Amino acid sequence: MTDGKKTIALLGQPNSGKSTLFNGLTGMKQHVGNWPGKTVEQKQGSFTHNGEEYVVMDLPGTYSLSANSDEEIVTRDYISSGKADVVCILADSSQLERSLFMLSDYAGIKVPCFLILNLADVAKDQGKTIDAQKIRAKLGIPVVLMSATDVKKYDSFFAALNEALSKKATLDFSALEEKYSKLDGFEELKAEIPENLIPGCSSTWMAVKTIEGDKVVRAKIENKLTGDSLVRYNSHAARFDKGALLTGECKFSWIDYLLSDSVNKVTQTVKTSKLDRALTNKTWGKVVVVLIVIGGLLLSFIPAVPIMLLGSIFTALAVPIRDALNAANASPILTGIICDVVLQSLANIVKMLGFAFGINLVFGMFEESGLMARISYVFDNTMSKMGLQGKSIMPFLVSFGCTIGGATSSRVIDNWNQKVLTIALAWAVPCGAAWAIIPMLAANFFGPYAVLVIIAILLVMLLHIWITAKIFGRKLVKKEDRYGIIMELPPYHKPKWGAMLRFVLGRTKDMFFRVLKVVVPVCLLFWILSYSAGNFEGSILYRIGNAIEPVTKVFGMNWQLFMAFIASSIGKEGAVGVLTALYSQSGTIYGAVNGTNAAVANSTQLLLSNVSGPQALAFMFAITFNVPCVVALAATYQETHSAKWTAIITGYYTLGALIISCIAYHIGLLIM
Amino acid sequence: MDMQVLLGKIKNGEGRSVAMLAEEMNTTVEDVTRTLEYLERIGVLRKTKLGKFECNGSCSSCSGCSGKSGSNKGPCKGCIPEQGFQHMGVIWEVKDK
Repeated sequence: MTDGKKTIALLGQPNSGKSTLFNGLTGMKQHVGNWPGKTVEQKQGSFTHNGEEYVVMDLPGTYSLSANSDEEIVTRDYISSGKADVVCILADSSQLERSLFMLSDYAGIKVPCFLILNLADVAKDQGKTIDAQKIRAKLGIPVVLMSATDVKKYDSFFAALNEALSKKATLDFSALEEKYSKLDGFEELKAEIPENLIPGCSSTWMAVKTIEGDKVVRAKIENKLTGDSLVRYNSHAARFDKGALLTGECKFSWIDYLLSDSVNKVTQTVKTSKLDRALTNKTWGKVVVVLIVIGGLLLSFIPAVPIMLLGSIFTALAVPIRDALNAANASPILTGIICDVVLQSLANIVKMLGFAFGINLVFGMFEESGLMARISYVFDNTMSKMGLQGKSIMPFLVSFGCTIGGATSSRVIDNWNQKVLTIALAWAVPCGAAWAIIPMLAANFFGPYAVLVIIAILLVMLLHIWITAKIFGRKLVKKEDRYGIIMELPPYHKPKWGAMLRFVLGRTKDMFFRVLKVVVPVCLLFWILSYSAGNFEGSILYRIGNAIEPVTKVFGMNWQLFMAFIASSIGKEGAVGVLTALYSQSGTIYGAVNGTNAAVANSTQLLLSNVSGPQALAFMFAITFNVPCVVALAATYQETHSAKWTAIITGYYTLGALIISCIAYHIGLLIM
Repeated sequence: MDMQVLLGKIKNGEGRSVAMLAEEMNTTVEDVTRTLEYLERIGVLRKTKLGKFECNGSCSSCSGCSGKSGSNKGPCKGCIPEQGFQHMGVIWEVKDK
């Protein structure tokens, strides 16, 4: 009581409507400050009703009265201080199973109280009917069903307040106590704690907090107990390991008892959709998911084709521009740079973007609709078997767009070994640049069979991940460290097409500039290195290439492809630049390779006439599974803080890519 | 609900959806959800919203933050698109085995 005024403390979980009630009661009569010695906000206000003045203390929104946070300590210290004449406990009527937890944690505190079942309107909209009187009968305190937003209907609140104050109504927690008493050792522990050892708290409440491992309560009890009593208290308390699980079960069980015949709700049978049933099926789930992914890849070709045709315009432009430059007696170097470097690079970039756009659009649709979460879920068990946390899903998915992002998003994984393993495996996921280049090359070389190449790459990716997990996992993650997850799947959403298109276009634009920055300089560099003003044997690249070709042929690549493979370590986009430079340059290496010095503008034709199917296959696999890019390497070092593991992963992927290309080449020889 | 049994199911290395777990434990989704939330509050489980992503500025095309390591001002558009990965769901996992 403050100066003859009654003090009401508002207690409840966040979002239980405490502040709404506080504002409804006090209006403008509020004072906001901080609790002494804490950075927790203290809100106090006052109001007058029927000539009586009341002070209202809006306690911080907390989930329980344990000492887990400053807010919880402030809340329970205030209650046990005796400053409040009555505690008004609020619960959200729309989710009583959860929000009555605060009431169950309060049970055992002797300060008079009453219960407000707030948000009655929301519960009604959900089709729930709540019998407050039945709950009241079980609790022995006033219980009011109301909506704090409706300030004109506070009569029942005031009636409950007056009743709680006049009768000094305390919570009847005998039913809960009965549940606690079934815990092995509870009664013995409780017997050692005298009532009111902590003012306002029953021995039951103190015993429960002891079991839950509440250090503050335990210290207070230990300070007041002496001799044998203290020894016995400590001995009984030590019997409870993970006691919060036991008391939590009792509290939830008590809440269910309170609600058992007091709440009726319209039972909504959540029908699992046919798609969800298929996806979550233990046997067929993975098959369905793989089919969906393949279907998505096929679909992504539809928007890609028109954009690819757009890219051909640049190729077609090269011929008249070259003719015009030749007619104007322009320098061959300038003509070469414009036609062979700039225009060819632009043609390739636009073609690459076609696939990038298509894949982003289809997979964006999967993500937006909630399907991607289900795909992740289906593969979770597999990931767990590889020793990965559920959170590794995100680095993997992000890696489909960008390995740098994949490595960086592994930050959510707190176990260092699992983080390194996740990054090592995420490198095997073909990034956005690979998804832009590979379909383009596959379409050029294999026409309608390009889809089969992409499916083969996806299957090799899975195999790669599995083998890498076996190799790295043995060292990094022990079997006993592996555990599963529970996943709350989001509901299906209808994709917001406008927003999705904006995000896909934004990402494609981002990729255009990123790719442009890599492709043109790399293309120019290799063009310069291969330029020989007619005397091709004099070019640096030709001499290096000839020297290393006996080795590169082992991996199924001629020296030009191998150079492009090396360039793909800087950035996968660079591989296209190198191929453009090496195969489209007129008057130099191309002439030597083809036995002609004719100016040929179409790099696709050049590739087809100079690279065999098995070589193309080897090259595509090699660059897909090569080191993603230099920046991904830097991001890996930044996240792992280990030069050793970054070097191991880099070496592993370089060697792995060459082995895969060798295998792909020989398979190609057999089937083509 | 027997929380030890629930934890045992999470620890055994299998992934489950909340609905699946409710079915296995012969209870409601609400019961499982409130139990998971409780276990998170007492520090047994960790909850992660998938898709929440922080940038460390290591991406060369970083345009969503200051580009400095540790700035963590938001997602990097170059690595993960704005508004991307919003519907990936939530996972709970055991903090310490």
